Formats: sequence, structure tokens, C-alpha cells
Amino acid sequence: MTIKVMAHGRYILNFKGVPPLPADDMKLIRSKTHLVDASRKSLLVEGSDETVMNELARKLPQWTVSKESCYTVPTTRPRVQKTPKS
Amino acid sequence: MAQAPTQNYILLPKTDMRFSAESLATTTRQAFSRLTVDTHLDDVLDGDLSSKAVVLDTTRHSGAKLVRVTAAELPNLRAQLPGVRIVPEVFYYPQRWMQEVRNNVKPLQGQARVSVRLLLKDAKTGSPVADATVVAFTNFEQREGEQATSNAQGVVQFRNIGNRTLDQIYIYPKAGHWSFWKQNFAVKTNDTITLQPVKLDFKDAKTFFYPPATEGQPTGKGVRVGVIDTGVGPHPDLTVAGGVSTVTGEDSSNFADVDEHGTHVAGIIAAHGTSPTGVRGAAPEVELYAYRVFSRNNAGASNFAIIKAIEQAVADGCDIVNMSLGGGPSDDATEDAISFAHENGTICFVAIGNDGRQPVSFPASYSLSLAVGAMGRKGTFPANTTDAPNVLAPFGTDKKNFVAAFSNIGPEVDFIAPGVGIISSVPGGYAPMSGTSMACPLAAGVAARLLSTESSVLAMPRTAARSEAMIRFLAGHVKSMGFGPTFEGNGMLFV
Repeated sequence: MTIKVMAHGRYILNFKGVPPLPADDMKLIRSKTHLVDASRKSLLVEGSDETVMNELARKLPQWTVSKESCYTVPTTRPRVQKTPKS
Repeated sequence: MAQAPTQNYILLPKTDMRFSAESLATTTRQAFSRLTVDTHLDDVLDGDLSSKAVVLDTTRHSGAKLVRVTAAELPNLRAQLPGVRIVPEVFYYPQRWMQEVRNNVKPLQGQARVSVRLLLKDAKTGSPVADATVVAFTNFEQREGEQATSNAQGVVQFRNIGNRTLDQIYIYPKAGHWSFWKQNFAVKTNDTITLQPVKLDFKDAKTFFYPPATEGQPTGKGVRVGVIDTGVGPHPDLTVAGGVSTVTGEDSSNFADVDEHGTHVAGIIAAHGTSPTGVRGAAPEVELYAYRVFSRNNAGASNFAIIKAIEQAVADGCDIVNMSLGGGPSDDATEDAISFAHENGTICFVAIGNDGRQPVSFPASYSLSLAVGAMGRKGTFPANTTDAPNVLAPFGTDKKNFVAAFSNIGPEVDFIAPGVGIISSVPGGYAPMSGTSMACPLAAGVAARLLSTESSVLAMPRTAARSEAMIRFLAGHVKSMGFGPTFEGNGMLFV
């Protein structure tokens, strides 16, 4: 079981087996989190706290749990980081 | 002559630690099985591998292999073994506690409060240029400065930068004009800066290296390309055959552009306008599908939305997917989605990132991604644009060609393509943009153009063998531009 960057917020649970997603696993996940979205073999959930996500990770050996990450629109433009000195 | 240093790498199947007994007997798998201890790779694989490339160890004939190759040979090795993961051998040592020295940034004492206004005008007509972003640096190295946007009268107002010489000024118009760049710029209020209008028959780097196809030449017909981005269009030069938004909680039917990035990317691939009134993409007859993964509320793109978009692109029968995005931490769920695409006959082109010679960003760094870097060519953009500082070594065999200063580097790079001063469609018109975001769709579009001539490959069942056949075919249509493999991979696709 792999846990990455656990914190409050949204997490992606990724099933490492072959779909369909096991019914017992889904029942456990739904009992501990709020299921926001689902793909072919990944779930987007809102977790209450790190303890809960750690517990899920321990009980779901066929899944990885990682924090959702967000990408910004790529750019090559330099950005201002400080206001000018006097 | 000094010999290139070798390094050890571990070759693995795309999932798990060994090929399963049930996995298809593809060409890749067969070649993989023949890599036994002490085998020289050039005895088993095609391509130009040196005699130093050798198998050092193996777990079993279908399991992991430890090989020794030079970094320069990695793109070639990847091309010969599509679908195989290649990871550097890593050594672990006992953990030691290290004290980290951190310099706290002190708050600035006092600020300049001299305001100034500048006027932006069209160089030909004198009309005001509205909605241009102006970034004025008083100290570029420290990124000190101020940013503002021009209003409907072309006026841009600054509060803090007056009565001084700017270190650098960057101006980015929304559409219809070239950008502007100047160093050591003395600023006085009511100064006028004129901006060059973009002419659509201008020979940018895309047109230089890939002139529009003439009668009878392939244009991508029969190939379906998915653009996973900020959305696409609407734009008169683009026809979107289908698509969705995979952003959680948003209307899935709305894949219109929430920025300009996706429309520009899509245009590089599939625009079907005609110069001088429109722009033409590398493969104007492909079937274009749009997958919006960036949220309408400016929150960015969740990796979950990207995962769903990849899966949807596969379900929609896309042959090629373009992802001009990345930079976050690697995650196995996104890797699995790209693997899923590969296993189902869809190949993914991914931009390597714009961090300026930093390591290739994820997901381009994943071994099943076709990672694309950006090059430019002197003379294909006006000298006073923001692309002037993008000119940086290494220069190519043709010294006018250069690797864009913003382009990342690394052994994961597969291809390089023009990505400096590329004119394409944006909502409301046309604009030049630069980035590995532009290079990636150009490579994807040229790949589509090439693949449209290979009906036998396109007709293959949608399995890993199809993806491998596409990659092998493209590997035969690449030429080095003389930058070196960590900058260009195998080089640039040619038609």
C-alpha cells in the first residue's frame, strides 16, 4: 500500500487490480469517505482526515492512495515575484 | 576522443515486474525475452546501439533486466522497445539527519510610489491595443517589478515603476499582434510602444519546417487526435468532431476553451484555415477531439480529470493524444491511465515542461509518454519580441536552430519540435505563442500526418502491438538536429 502526501482534502484511490472494482472495497471506501467522482479504476474522494485515509490505505491492499494534484496552465512568461525597491 | 560514460538502467514491462504468461507475444516481448546476461543489445535490437550496450543481469527471461548503456542511447533504446519501462539503477544508503539552512527573505523596506502610464498602439494603424499584459521588471534576476493590463484605450497604468530604467519589459498582446521585449528601457509617462500586427502569411518556425501539404500529400485523414487541455474553440479554423469536459462537477458537454492555450494547441495540429486569412495545422484533415480538464474557475487541472480524459480519449478511438501540460508530482494513477492508452492502441505525446533546462516534468517523464521538447529558429520571429531571450545554446547542425531556453532536458526526451513564436488560433483571432506546449502538438500533428499514410498500422486491432507499431514507424521518420539526445531525444519528425 502506498500513501503519498496525506492531508485534508481530496484524494485519488487507484485500484491496481483488474476492474471491476471489488464491491467490498467500494463499501468500505464509501463508509469512510465522500465519493466525488469515479473513472475506470480510480476514485476521487473527499477524506475527513489523515487518520481515516491511513486506515483505508491499510485495509485496501490492492489500492494506492494519493492526494489529488492540480496543474496550472503552462506558460513561458516570467512572473513578477516582488514589488520594486525604492 | 573521450568516450560517453555509461550508466546502468533497469528494463521492466510496462506493468508489474515481468511479462505475464498471458500477455501478447508482441515484437517487444519477444525481443525482451532474448535479452539474456552478457547479450549485447545491438545483437538483438535494431537501431544504432553501441557495442558497450550490454545486459548485466536479469531476474528471468520475462523479468527485469539490468543493462548498461550510455544516456545518449536511451531514446534509441526506447524506440526499439516501445512499452518497456526504463528506470535508472538507484543505490540506497542509511538515512542521516541533515540540517537544512534556510535564508528567510526579509520584507522590503519602503517602495517606489511613482506612477506612470504607457500607451500601446498598433504599429501600422495607430489603433490602441487593449487587453495586453505588460510585465515590467525593475530587477529581472530578483523578479522585482509590476504587472498590468492595457485598457480599451491601450493605456496601461503602473503605480510603482516610474522615473527609472526598467531592467526588462515584456508585453503580451491577447491576439493579433507580436509580443514585445526590451532591455534597459527608460520609462516616462505617456510613452507610446508600438506593437507589430501578426500577418498570417508570416513564415514562422512551424511553416519553415513543415510547409502546408500540397495537393496529393498526406494531411492526417483517417487519424483521430485528442487534445487534453483547457478546451478548444470555438474558432472558424477548427472543427471539433467530439469531446467532453472531465472536470468534476462541471457540465461534461462544455469543452469550449476557458483560456486560449487549448485552442492554440489544437490549431497547431488541426487548423484548416488558409493563409493569409487563416492558419493551417500540421494535419488539417485529422478528426479533432477536445477534452477539457482545466476548470472554469481558474483552479487548474486535477490529475483526476486528466486520468478520465485519457480513458475517454481511448474509448472515443483516438489514435493520438496530446497533453501539453504537466509539472506536478508523479502519480501511479496517471501512469496507469497512460499505460491503459498504450495497451489499447493509443499513443500519448506529452510536453516536457518549460522550467529552463530542468528535468523532464511528469507525466512526460513516464516511459510510455512520447516526450517532446522545444526548439526555435532565428529569423522566424521578429527580433524585438519576447522570443529573443529564448535563443540559447545548444545550437544545431544548422546554427540558426537552437533549443529554446525554457525547454527542459533529460534522458526521457523522445522528440524535439518547433515551439518558439508559433502562430496559431486563439479565441477571437490568432496569436504567436511559445512553449513545449506548442512543440508537443506540432510533433503530434506531424505524427498524425505520417501515420495517415500507414493504413495497415491504423487497421491493427487496438492493442499494445498497435501502439508499438506506430512508435516503431515514427522512429523511422526522425532526424537529429544536432542538439544531442538529452535535448532532442531522437530528433525531429520529418515528412
